[in-house]
Amino acid sequence: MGIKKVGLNRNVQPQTLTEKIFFLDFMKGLKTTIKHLFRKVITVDFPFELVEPAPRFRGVHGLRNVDGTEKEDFDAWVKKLKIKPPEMGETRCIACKFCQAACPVPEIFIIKAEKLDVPEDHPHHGLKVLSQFDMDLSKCMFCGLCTLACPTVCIIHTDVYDLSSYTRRGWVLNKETLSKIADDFIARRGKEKYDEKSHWPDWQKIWDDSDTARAKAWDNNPPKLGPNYADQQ
Amino acid sequence: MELVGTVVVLVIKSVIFILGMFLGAAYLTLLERKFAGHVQQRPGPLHVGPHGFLQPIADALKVLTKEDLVPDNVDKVLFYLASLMAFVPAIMILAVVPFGDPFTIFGVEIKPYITDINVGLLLALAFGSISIYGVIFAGWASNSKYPMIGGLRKAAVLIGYEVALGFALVGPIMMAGSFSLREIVEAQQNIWFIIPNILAFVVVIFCVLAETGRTPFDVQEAEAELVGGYVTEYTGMKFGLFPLAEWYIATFVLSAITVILFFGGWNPIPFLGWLPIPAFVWFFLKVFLLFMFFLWVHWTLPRYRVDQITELAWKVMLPLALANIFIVAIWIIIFG
Repeated sequence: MGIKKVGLNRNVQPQTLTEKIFFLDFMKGLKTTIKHLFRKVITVDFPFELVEPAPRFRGVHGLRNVDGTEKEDFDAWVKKLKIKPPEMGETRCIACKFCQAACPVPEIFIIKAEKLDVPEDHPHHGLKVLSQFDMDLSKCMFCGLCTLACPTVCIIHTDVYDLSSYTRRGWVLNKETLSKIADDFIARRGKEKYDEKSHWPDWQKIWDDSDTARAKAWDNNPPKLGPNYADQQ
Repeated sequence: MELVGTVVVLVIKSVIFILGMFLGAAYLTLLERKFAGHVQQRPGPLHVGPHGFLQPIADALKVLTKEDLVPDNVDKVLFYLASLMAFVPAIMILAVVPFGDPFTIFGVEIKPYITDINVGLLLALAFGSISIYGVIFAGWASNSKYPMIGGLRKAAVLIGYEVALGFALVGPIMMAGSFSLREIVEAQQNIWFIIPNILAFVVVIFCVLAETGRTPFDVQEAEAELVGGYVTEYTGMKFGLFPLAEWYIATFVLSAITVILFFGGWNPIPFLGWLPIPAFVWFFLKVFLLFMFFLWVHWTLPRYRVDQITELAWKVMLPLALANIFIVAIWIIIFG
């Protein structure tokens, strides 16, 4: 078609005479579009259809409660931090503030623990209990570092992603709201995301074993990451 | 008395044609959006009415009720005139497009065209060109950089394709011996004019794409470079008239003219003449297929640069059109 080729790609060959006369490159393009015309629609009709996020999706945070699936060293952590041993249904948070330390924007968190006001002969004398846990999610970038830092798998990411609010206050979640979000999520998809001891199941690794291309990119020697990146903590 | 009768009939016909074209153009927008969606594997309009069937009406209501802003520094007269100038001539081409042979119902002879003048084709060409001036005026009147560039690009494209288009139409005119679109169709009863005029057909496809500003020749509004091109300063219905005129009415009407010139108008498709299908159904079927072809090209190809379009028009399409005249002349000498 008498068109000059411009640009940096020197590999572009000029069109042959046959291509010019019979518009062969046009035909190729037209063939592609007509092929796609009859394919199935791949979009999601959002408010009417919802996509279920993957288990590793990093959505709104939740604070898990004690439900019998704590890690093996949970009691040790509770003892170490002088927290009142939580009963079933109470929060797993031990107010260690590891999440705040790991967070790139630490002012997201307001974490406070206060001593129990009990007489001296009470078994819980001198122990603390979590009194406040606020998260300002308007500052959060959902990087997931807090969940990696958490020693008791208390703060987790859920698959909730609709977080719109009419006021900024609406993005500040307190510990009751976070617990409710986590309870909902664990009831729905807890089995999928965590095993009996709150570790990630094996198949939830960074990539699947079938992803050979990724393994090859690491010279078939990928970094060894345990459950919940245990070796990185 | 006879004059009054003629005027009444003409007015009724014109109103029918214009209303039909409006409604048709509205639904052509839906057709295009559905087509574009499915080419990109998305559904297109879906929720207004069943499968988005009422979307054009919702769009029309929205465009008509939008606030109509006119910027301070525009050339007011030209600014208003430009949108009408793009729209009115495009719909006026319909005056010379015949949709079938005259037929008789209840003893009244009905002619399915507004007028059959003996320079119909020239009139269609002229109106098509005036429609382009609307675009150029819009670019000038907006008094803004991007519309200006868009209008100038359209002018550059215009002087490129007009010459080639004029020469390409000579072939069918030579074979039919008439400028009247009806007589051109009647001359194609045995063999369509596409047979010796294949080169002219290629040139005409190029020219229709360039005239209606469809991809790959939509340089005048190149949305990635020129914001909205010549319509940047327009709002509301004044904005809506431009795409309606260029992308739908002009494309449809020029498809009709191309069908009349090369595909035998309302003559049935070869070997299917025995089917009990009325003439205007054949005509609209062909026009629809050609329109779909333009849509197909639009949603496939990337955009040419202005200099490439001009180069293509002058170095490729014009020689092709001239070669076509030579071929047709020899054809007429041999086959009479």
